[in-house]
Amino acid sequence: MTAPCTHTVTAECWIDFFAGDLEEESGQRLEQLMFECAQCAVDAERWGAIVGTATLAIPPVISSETFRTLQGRGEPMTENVMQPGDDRRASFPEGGRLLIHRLQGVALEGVDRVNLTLSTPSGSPLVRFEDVPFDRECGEVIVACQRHFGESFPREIVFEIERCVADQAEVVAAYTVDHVDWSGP
Amino acid sequence: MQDSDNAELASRVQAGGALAAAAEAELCRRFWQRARLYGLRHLRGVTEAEDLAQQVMEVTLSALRSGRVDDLALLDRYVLGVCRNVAHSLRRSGDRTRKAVQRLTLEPTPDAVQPPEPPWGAHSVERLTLCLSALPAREQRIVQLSFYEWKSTGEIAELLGVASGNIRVIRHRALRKLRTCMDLNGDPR
Repeated sequence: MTAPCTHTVTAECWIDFFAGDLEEESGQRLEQLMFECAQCAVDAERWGAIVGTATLAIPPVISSETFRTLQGRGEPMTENVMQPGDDRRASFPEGGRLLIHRLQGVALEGVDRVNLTLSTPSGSPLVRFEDVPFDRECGEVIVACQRHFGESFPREIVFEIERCVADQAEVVAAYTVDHVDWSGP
Repeated sequence: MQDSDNAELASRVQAGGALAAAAEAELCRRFWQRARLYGLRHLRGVTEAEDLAQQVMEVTLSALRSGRVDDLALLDRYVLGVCRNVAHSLRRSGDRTRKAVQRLTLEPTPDAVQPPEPPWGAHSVERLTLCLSALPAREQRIVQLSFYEWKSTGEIAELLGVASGNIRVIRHRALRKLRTCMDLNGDPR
């Protein structure tokens, strides 16, 4: 029989534990509880599952640094480099989950933030990402399109980049992609 | 088997025979995930963490079979100790392969070492990607920097121009939301 747990480790503690924010002594104490207290182990496993899954979940819009990390991991991917106004068919790599749209050719020096809107060619909005990572020097936004997105999105998508300076927002480029591997939701 | 305590399971493994395989499987169910979490914290990568968990279970079961664990009532501490040794070996060698376990164990890979399924089923990653997309931009970014790029709180604070204390608060909030979102379609096992 398992004794009731009296350790009262908070969710915040477990999150700090996995984020590396605890002092060495506190971290070791939680490690011990994770092995010696069944209820603590259950709590640790639940928060650890979120963290573990987050390490595998690639965000839809990524920074240049994340892109380089993905390349370093040897993740199979197809790169689709686009300029404003391009309308292109693109496909995922054989057996791979990533199709990288590199939306280039935009002047992003001096902007405060960048938004990205996805819509259909007829103008129906699909989703909007605010304050996305972007490369100021290269004028680039990188979209990490993932195979499973095809369950939620249509084949043809228009990506619109919006640059924001102070309170002023302006759409500065649009790119259209036909994802040939998707059959649509 | 699920009602047996660790010491009972360990003694069944030591004794061998018909019940040993089931006892090994139950011990793996109990300790594989904990070892993986230890690896996640110290090695900062899922593949590395799973390698560590696999090696820890192999070493532990091997030690039990050959009677090299002195106090079966303290098996949990023993497994934690093996985690520390394997993590240390992996870090020291810089070679996150099976070389470490080759030095630590004398027996071939036991069949019983099977990792459990992910807690939210086979599509956990896809679900979490969608849950992440629903977070405000700053929360998404902090989760990504914390656990995808494994940056420290100090590094994130500098990068985003936000105090370290605030980064922690935002990360706590974001992970709570992610957990709620993941649990929506059924409680994880």
